[in-house]
Amino acid sequence: MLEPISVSLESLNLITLSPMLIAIGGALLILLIDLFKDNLDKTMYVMLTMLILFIDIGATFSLNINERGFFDLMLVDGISVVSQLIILVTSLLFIPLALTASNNRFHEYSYPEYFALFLFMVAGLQFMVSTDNLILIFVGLETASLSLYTLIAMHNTKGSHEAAIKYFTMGAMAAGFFLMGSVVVYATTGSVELYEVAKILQSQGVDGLSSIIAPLGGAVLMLVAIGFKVSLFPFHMWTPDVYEGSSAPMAGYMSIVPKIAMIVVAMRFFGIYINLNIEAVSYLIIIVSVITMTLSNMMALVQKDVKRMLAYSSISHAGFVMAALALGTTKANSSIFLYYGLFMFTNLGAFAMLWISRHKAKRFHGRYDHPYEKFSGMISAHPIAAVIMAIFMLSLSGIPPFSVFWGKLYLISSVVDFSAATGESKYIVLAIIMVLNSAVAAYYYLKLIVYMFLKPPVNELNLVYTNKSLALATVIGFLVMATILSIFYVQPLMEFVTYLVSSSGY
Amino acid sequence: MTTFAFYFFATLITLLFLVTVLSRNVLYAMTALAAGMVLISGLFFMLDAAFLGAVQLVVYVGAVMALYSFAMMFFDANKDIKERNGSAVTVFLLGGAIAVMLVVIFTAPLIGQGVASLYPPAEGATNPQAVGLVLFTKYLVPFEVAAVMLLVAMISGIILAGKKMDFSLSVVEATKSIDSKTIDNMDNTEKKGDK
Repeated sequence: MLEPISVSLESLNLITLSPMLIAIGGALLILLIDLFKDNLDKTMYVMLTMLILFIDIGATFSLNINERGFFDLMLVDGISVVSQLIILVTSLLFIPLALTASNNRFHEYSYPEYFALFLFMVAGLQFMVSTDNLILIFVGLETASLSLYTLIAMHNTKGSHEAAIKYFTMGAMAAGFFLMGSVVVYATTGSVELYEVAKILQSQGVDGLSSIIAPLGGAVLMLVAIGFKVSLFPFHMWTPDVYEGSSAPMAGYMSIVPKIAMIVVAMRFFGIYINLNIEAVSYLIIIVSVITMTLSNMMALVQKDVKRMLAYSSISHAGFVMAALALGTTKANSSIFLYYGLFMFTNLGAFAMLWISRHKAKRFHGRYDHPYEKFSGMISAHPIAAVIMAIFMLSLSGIPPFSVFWGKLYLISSVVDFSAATGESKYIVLAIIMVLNSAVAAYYYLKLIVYMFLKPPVNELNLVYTNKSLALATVIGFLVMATILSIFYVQPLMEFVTYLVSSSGY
Repeated sequence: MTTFAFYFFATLITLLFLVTVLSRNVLYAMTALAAGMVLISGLFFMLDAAFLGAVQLVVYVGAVMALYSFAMMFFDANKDIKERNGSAVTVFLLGGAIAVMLVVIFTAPLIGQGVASLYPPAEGATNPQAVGLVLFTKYLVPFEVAAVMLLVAMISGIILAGKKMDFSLSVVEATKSIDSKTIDNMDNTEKKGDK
């Protein structure tokens, strides 16, 4: 007979699990309410979900930084807390977008399960960012992805089914590559815990050819998996189609939240290689990111649909951020979180502006919901909406003093600093490529502004904001204020993020 | 004896999986795949990994292959599949290069140095007991998250296959609230139309 195992409850440090348990408990609560009482109005579920997210934010704030829990499986460090906050705040701004003008306008909101699945997804993403065990990362990733595929398909249009299937297929590929990468790492080091992996790689050294092939192979397989989820070249092909098919706020949400979770995983995983000075890996990431931002900018120039244009623009922003990830300095890592924290307001706002103008019938174009012509002459019909859209576009193109400008500023300055610190001039070239790409990107953002302000409206068809309601106007108003007033809070935000990131040694 | 058994299983597995890839008939491919899965469990039993061997039999052969065959029965399984290959040379070169690369990556750690497991199994535990010890202490959280994942998959399946998805509120302008009764009525009228 085996000895029974006794584990003291204190050693488990169960508080590290509390944010995820709140989200899962909330989701189960929503399912139970639906079980006992049918046909409740969706407003109730929206408010309940927001309440749960608020409690979740509180639980995340109350965590002690740099603690491990549950047999060292859970890891609460600075980047885990800051990414959880970004995920939760974006979710909190995303959920009220369900409160459109009249009920029963959209299929997904007629299901209480929509909100339950949403909370399950948030819990999965939180698990993913607050562990460095590859098994838990994978299980959390798959929980979040499965929920996300369903959330997309529940919009229930032809396009959204296509989007869900495409995303599902690509997600399955990504899962396969993630597992193969993990297997190689496990075969090389005998561990799936990244802190142990780092220790072992450090001690056994990575000089000889035979000892470098396997870690490099693992990194390449992992980069493929991360590339699928963060939509890096050449694994970005699904992104425009999926964003086009899913509902506009969901597309905006997808361009921020799953990406920031995967970027945290990339930071933990590639951080090992960058700390070991394996230059091949950082060059690989930089090459991929440069191609990503350049190519997607070129593709965005020729798009006829605003939503597809924003999809390509979000790919290019992801490429931008990945370039900083390859440096591995504290400033570069914290500028990634600052960038996404600021990009979140603007991008969600731009997609929300598309959302309130969605019509059930495609009145302007045979295929697209939001062609550029739809917005032509908007300044005369809806002056305030046109100005708000213009602010979001200017912010996305990185024009001061709007929010994304500060993100770009810190990101590029971290690249320049790195070049000065290492004395290598090739990182200056990287910074110049990033600036040039921002300049190219300005063209397609300004194209929309030209349509809105300078072109005459399409006469017989008027743009009507059918979905507009007080709740949506409030959310958009908040996003606009966050975009315009970023100059006032960017400094404390930067200090907060840098404190969290540096406190856990990234 | 174990060496002989290993080469015996390895040859058979390779042959069966080759049949799976090369056969143009779905039923042959599927049967060969199932047989290969059974033989892989033999390798696990040889390595004293009895638990994994049983899981391989129950999950892959029992569940996954049964699902495959159910799905395949919806199609005409006896028809040969016409594959659309582009240039045979490109396919051969790209596929071959990727295969060689993967083999090198996966065998490199074996050729390198001997890898020791960080968490050796407890003294005196048989294989299923050792798996259970790790699964219900250290890996309890991933185990439970996997349960949540299955719940999510179940909810997703029920919703997406449900009757409510036949009617899309996102496309059609709803004049009054749609309840289950109206959808039932719509279904009935459709059935009448079919007759």
